[in-house]
Amino acid sequence: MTDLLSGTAARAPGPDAHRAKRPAKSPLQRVLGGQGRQWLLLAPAVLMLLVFFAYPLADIVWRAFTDPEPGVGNFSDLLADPTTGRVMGRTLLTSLVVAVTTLLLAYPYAYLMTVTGPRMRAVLMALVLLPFWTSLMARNFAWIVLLQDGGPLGMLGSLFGRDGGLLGTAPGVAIGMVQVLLPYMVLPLYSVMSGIDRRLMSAASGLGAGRFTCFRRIYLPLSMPGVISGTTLVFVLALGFYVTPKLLGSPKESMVAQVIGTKVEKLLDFGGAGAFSVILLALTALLLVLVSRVSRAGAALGLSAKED
Amino acid sequence: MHFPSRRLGAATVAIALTMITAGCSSGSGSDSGGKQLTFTSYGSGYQEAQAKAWLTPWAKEAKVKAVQDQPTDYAKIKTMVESKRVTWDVVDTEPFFPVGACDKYAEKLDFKKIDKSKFPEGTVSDCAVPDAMYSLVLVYNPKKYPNAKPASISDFFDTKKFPGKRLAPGFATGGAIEAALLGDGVASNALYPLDYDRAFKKLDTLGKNLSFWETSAQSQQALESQQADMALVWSGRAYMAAKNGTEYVPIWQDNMLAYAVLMVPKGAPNKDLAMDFIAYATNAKSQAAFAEDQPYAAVNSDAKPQLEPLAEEWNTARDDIQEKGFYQDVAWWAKNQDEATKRWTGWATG
Repeated sequence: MTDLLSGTAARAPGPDAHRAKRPAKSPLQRVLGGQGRQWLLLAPAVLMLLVFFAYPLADIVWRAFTDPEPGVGNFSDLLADPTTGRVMGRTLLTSLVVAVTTLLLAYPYAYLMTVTGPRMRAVLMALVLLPFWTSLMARNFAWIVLLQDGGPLGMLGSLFGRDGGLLGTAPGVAIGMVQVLLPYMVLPLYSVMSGIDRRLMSAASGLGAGRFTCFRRIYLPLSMPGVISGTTLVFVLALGFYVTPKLLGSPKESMVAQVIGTKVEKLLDFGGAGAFSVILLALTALLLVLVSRVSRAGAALGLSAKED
Repeated sequence: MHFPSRRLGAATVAIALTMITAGCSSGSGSDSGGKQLTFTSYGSGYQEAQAKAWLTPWAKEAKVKAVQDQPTDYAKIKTMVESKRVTWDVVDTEPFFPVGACDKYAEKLDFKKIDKSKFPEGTVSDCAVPDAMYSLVLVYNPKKYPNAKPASISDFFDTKKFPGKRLAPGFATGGAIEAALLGDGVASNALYPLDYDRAFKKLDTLGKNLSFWETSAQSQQALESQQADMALVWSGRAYMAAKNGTEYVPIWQDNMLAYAVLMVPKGAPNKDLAMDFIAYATNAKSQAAFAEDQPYAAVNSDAKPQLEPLAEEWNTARDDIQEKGFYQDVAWWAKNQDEATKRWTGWATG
């Protein structure tokens, strides 16, 4: 449905339509020459990824299968350990809660950004980006103050059946994570929503649709690429969160990254930590594949909406 | 998750700067005669005081260039030793690591240079000597318990008589297992080998009243904001909190004495210098200087630090505190740390 709509709406003749057809050669293209040599532009980034990402990752996978001895011993140990399932389940649940909460907060916010004037939009954007630029540690310590007993948000603890603060509890961790991850939801949503042609809604209401119907049948489907990419991004980032749960949570709320941390730091069990990382990685990859299957390819990678 | 990239960026800049300045700097800074020692510790005021009391004066005297790194990281030591690219010479650690990995990840120490006769009994081993002492002590908020006062670790677990929030170390080696067994009636000289199941069962009785600290800074923060009515914390942090105006009362009975050690990673590039430095850091004068600066007790029995009254109150080298306390069994922990950590993680994440 999105394709159909973008086919009719987004490609409606506009001032840019003719220019886009035959792009002029940029100076850079002239220097680099033909198509083949353009790939040279990728070389630094690819090299960087190979050295600083692919190689260490390969090393971790290698260790998972070879350290201390070759085989799948690390994996069978993990599967035999009842805590693995509990920690994995808790991590998935927390990530899901965080992703959904973030979406519920970010959706109206991003919508507001698309309908207000440029000045208000700049303010709203700054509100999202300022915390984003503030050190993660500073924000986590601020949350410690806010969430502790007697702290303003700590009072909320009683609502969750705990006398006193939210520090050291799952809701406390979730609140901290939502704040850290909110920009990752707002930005993709805003980028998609700002591309939605709102004349479609006018057309729909002209044909007799109510506001809710307009939203449900037109706006929501059109914003889905942003919803999917934002939710996936936040969910995947949340899966690997370490600092926030470590500082705001307690050992009782450990997530996967913390258990991996304990394996490396305390047990010096690089193989076991590698195996757990590989499981987390495989799960994340599987999730991305699933998402890109149900949505348009690329949405999951944050290339939403505007790639056509 | 922002850190790796930032650190990477910093590293890139650092490498670039090094490359640019390398040409100019060779030949200057000559009074060290090319000798260099890298000391690694846990950072913050602790490491600053170590540098001030030990490293800087020693380096000046020995004409050695002193370099510092932080924080202590066992995984890093393991990786360095296994890849035979060791860059640290002396490291401040918990004793379990070098004692458990003696001659594997830690060098044997040279006791011709280091005088081991002055250390408390049982704190010296082939690969580690103590450099700072403290204890895990039970403290309570006197305002919370104005009438009947807690008097022993059993009271930590008695939420009927003493309702309120409890705080304990959130990692296996921290002493919560020992405290649980003490609270369950085990005598301090009969704790080891630790009965995990019994300890976890006892800790479970505290339920939601119990929360954990993971770093000692957290424990101090929790004391200062009065988050806990009773807490098992390191004496030094309780002292710092007291210094900042928070009044918690210590119960020294069954305090768990513990110490940090200096070790030399296996294959350290400047092993001989490392031995000289360790000898210097643990002598009476250096130890006194450190104890005067930081809330840790001296390990050298000849050290006579001049302490303020409040610092003296929390000074775990005091005879009466030593008599009421017991030493955490480092040898046992060195052998069983992995198993205990696995059991702890299994219980804690449950």
